[in-house]
Amino acid sequence: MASSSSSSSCSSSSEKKITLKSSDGEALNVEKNVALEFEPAKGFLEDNSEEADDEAIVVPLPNVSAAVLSELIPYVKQRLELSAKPVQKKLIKAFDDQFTRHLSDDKLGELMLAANYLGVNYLLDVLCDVTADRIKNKSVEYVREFLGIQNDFTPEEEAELRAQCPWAFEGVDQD
Amino acid sequence: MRTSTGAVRRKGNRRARVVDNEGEDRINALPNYVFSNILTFLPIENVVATSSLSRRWRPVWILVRNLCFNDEVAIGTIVVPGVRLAAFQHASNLIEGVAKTPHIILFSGVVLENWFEFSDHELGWLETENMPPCLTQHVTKIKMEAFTNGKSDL
Repeated sequence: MASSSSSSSCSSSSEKKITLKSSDGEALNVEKNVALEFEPAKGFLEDNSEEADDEAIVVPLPNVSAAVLSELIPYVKQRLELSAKPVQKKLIKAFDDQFTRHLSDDKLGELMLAANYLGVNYLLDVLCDVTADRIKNKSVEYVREFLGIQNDFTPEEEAELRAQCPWAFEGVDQD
Repeated sequence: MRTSTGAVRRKGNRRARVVDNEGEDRINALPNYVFSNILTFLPIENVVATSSLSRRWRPVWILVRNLCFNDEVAIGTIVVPGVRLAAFQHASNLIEGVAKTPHIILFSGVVLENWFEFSDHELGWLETENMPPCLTQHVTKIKMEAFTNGKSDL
């Protein structure tokens, strides 16, 4: 997984590379401009700016696995390339749609955590939109299941909450 | 929700659960603004229903900025030139309010307190039977009216 991103060579060879170290200890080489999109990496690089050789820098990202980083890096790279051009918003939208369409629910959750941790807000927004799509018009029970929420209300409390606004619980899809 | 070894009711394989080593769902460690961001894409019925997901979720929907009340939901409306307005019965006390922005608020006193605790929304105008003291600094003009139907609050 890691090698697929580090071996991609469509960018110019003169581009500086940074090494990111995932939570599971894998080293991934990325272009510096991609690494700078990740807030913790940006902070780390700023703190170590006296280091002459970027190639020698290893940025630890202890909250993101190599599998997730390998999905994020090509996404951020392409998104940066798109944003650099005067492209229409709908092209970026189409790119985001393509990226998110086939994500499993598990992967969606993983990416949301990673995007939040890494401060990639444009991706986080897209993932929130996708999550909303998947829980739209679903029952409370379904949403709890989907997001892994522990129901800590007593049955009486829950019944009272529902009774306060019964219209909010009507007409949901079958689970 | 606990690990897969717990008594988890499953329906197929649909979930965005990410469980850490201790078996806790890390998704729920995401900050509230991420969840409220999700809710901004949902219809008002779904948004309000999330208040009954769990205690942690109870106040999340209050953060949603573009809450839009529709006619079926509105209990009563008041026309104020230049602002959209909706009325909404959240609990036993009915409070009708208008925000300065197109964002609309109308809740019980209890939820209104939460509202200002969790958000920087400003009420431009408000009608309520019992005004929580914490609100006075947020409201520019207050008109007190009895809307209560006598039921006790949660």
